[in-house]
Amino acid sequence: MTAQSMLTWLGGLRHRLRLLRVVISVILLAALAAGGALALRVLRPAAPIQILPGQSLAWEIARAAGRSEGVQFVSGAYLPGDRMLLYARTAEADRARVRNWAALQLEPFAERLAAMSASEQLTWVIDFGPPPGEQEAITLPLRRAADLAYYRYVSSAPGLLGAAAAPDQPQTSAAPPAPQATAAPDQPQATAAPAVGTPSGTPLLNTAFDEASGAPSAWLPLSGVWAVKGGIYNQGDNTGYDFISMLNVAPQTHYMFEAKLRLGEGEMGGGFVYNVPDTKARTGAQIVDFDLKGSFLRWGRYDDKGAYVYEGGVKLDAPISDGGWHNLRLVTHGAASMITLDGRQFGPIKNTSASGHVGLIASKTKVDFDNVALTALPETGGVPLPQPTAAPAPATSFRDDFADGNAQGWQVLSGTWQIVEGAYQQTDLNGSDLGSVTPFTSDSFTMTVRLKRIAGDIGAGLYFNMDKRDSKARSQMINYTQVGKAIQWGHFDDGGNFVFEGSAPVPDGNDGAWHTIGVRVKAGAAAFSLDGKEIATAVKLAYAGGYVGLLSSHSRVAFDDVTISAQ
Amino acid sequence: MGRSDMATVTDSSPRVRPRLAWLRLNARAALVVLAVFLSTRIMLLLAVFLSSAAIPMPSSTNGYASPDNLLLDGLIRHDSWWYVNIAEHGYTMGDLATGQQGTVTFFPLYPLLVKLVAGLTGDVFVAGVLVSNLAFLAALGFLYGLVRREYDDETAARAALYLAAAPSTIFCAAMYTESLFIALVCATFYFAHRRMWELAAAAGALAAATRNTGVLMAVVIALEGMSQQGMRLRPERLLGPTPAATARIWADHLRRQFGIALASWRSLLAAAYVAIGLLLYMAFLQLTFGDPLGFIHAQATWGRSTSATGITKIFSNVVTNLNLGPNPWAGQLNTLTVLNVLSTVGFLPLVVMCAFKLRPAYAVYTALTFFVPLSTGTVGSMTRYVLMLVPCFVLLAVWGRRSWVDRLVVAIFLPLTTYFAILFSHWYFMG
Repeated sequence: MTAQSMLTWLGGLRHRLRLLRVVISVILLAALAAGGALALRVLRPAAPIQILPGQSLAWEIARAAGRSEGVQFVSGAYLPGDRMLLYARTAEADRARVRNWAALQLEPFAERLAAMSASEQLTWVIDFGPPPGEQEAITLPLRRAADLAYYRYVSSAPGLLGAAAAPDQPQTSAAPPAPQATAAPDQPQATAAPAVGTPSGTPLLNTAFDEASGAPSAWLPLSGVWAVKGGIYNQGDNTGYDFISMLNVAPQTHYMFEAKLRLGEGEMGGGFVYNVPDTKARTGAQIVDFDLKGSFLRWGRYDDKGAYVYEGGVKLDAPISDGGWHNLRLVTHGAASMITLDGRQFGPIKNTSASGHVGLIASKTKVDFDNVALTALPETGGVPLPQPTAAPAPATSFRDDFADGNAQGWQVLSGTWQIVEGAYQQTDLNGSDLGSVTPFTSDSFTMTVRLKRIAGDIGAGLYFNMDKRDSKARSQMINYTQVGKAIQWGHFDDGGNFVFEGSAPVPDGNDGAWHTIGVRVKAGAAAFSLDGKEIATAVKLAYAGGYVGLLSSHSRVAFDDVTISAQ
Repeated sequence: MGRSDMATVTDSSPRVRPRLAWLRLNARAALVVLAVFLSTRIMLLLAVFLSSAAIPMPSSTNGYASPDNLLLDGLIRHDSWWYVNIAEHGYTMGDLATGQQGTVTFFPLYPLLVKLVAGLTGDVFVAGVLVSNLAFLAALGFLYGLVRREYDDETAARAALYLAAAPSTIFCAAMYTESLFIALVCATFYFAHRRMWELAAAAGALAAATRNTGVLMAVVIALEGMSQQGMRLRPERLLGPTPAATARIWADHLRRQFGIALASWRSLLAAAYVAIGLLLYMAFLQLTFGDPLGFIHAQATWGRSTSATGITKIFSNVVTNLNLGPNPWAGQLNTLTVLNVLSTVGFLPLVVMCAFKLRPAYAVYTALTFFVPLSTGTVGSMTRYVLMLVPCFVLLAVWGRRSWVDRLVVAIFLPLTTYFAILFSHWYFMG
């Protein structure tokens, strides 16, 4: 091969290489296009899903409701064979308006809803109002959207969840606390505390005090200045106590009484009277109302002379004297009642009367009432009462340092008990032998508790060997006496009368410092100690065993570090 | 060692040194790009994290991708959820009757990549953020390489920094398509500048499959190819002494330009290939929804339309959208519109100057990218769209040789960058 031919061949090779590069480029670009086309297939829309009538109905309701003024969000879902779920969030702050709004949204779809399965429910959860907001859960049979009588409401207010726990809730180790809100009792899901939800029943009265239904003839004022003004039933005198307006309805035993109330000027509040024997007198009636400008929810009764007898209460972290409407509901079933305030539950409260009339009450305060409703309930689904005679689950120890901010498990016997700065305080300065009782029960145990005087003459001590958690009758006790100069012990007999058994002088306990009282019980005898030093031994006891609790007489006392262990 | 051995050693040195120098140069470039990327991303993420932890979200937020991870969660906002929707459920055409918005308006490459990467990571949100940030790193790399070829390393570093620290750069860190598009635009510019027409074509086609304005890269490639061959719009002398001479001048000019166009056949072919990205998507829409122009028609479900006369309505729309109250200084105005107006007004001079200071391809791309969104009659989302005006950042970098310009740009950009990041992560619509 000559040099000339070599150069020619190389020139050809160079040309062929350029051509090859072009060919390769074309192939690669074609591959890119083909690859892109194939890859795009993965972005094809998902296969269409079969739309069930309930699903489209839920979406349509949600879409329609979402167009309402102030509504921020609505969503719907349908679970075939079970229920339709709706969720809404709205700026509307009034609970009653939220309920009305929800019913109005369902109305146009009532016919289509009526064609759904009879076994299905509709649950609509609505968050409403400014943050943190409140919540309304509405349940009804899916086919009954047009009939308001089937609507059940479960209210809750997240803003109140941070309030001090109600010390009066009977929580035992065997019965964990019921949830804040559960479904209505006619639903199979409601397995815990049926009375917590809204029971079904027969409406006896539902008045918004408008021109048609707010006829004053339904009401029998006993005292005070009661008048219907602008769709509101108002008590306008804030100078006196116990202004009552009775509802002219036959006495009931199983019923739900509810109303919206708004506190005006005044230093106490208002509420309900119930189980009233006679519409013309308050004697024998029970009361649940507010005190201290709506910052304290209390319950009690009028004795046979018409005098108020305080039975218990709870301090509210968020007073209801905020100028807004609040929902108060009472559910009573003969032996006991439950109270619900803006979705938060209190009770049960032991009834002193099994049945009676109902009415509204205001003391030293102008109060507005609206949307008053009385509903007769079936006898089933009663308020869960503490069962003092039932044997509690055996526990070998009980401890509470109240650091968790609640007093779960304690049952208030009397007085006002609340958690203050990590300790359990009884804050009533008046009243003797005020108590709060643990679920612990034994006839052989050791107990210590730290306590200190906050105000008043220290009368703090312990209950033990109590026969019942809700009565001081048939119980042992030990407490400070003589303004902290001595400790005494004794028992309350069958009638609740104190029987002195002994005492011992001690260093001044009224000094505002923490002191530790100890009790050791074994074989019907007890030994007592104060700040680690024994003050009495082999004290023969009237009652050998039972519940253990705290006691306070005529003093505000803080208790902490309760430690009980069975021996 | 003999003389011949010495000669061998001495002779080999000149061949080794350029390679070492090239390596050193590119290693430095890589480090600069990485430093710019990391420093700006860390600053953004810090703003997102600290503000998300400290400032409560508005009550009307739409959802949280990852409530346990504020960094990831803060980057999944607004349109991110549409990309998630496409990646997980495929495209929808939308329906004006029901108000359902059609997702076909979002071009396919980004959600496609997210879906593919999600197959590896198992998390579509992580995949989205990963694709966006890797694409942005690539964008900075291509931008640096491009500017270095025309100017110098310092200018290139400034251009990368200005783009990475642009006020709305949070969109390049978030699950948005911007970073991928910018990467492909820069890649197209870069490869076209280096006459690597096949790669320019591929990058352009991918850009056309990423955003609707991506098809403009065809113009970029064609213009770049012809300008490299010496194409000129007008002859050196516009007029001759006689009409016949003038006609001859222009005839010669046109003949010469035609010859240049023929000589630029590779770039023209590459430009034609760019349309493949759009055509493939149209074919997909035809096969799936029976409407090859679905991405245009579905704009109606978003309440948008493009028209030549739209730009004339900008002023009245801005006045309306500003929503000025009796006392604007008390905050009675729409701050988003203010930001959009500032972005538009701020970048307008840069767009105009690009026509005089930069290559024809850059100028045309910049003008089209700037004015096409304005043809909708609003300045909506201009805060985000200006990110794609890559040549404007190049121009700024050139001007940034003056230290006071450089400081001014950084002083304006960085506070706004943090402001945008905080608002974006808190669900405030920023563009």
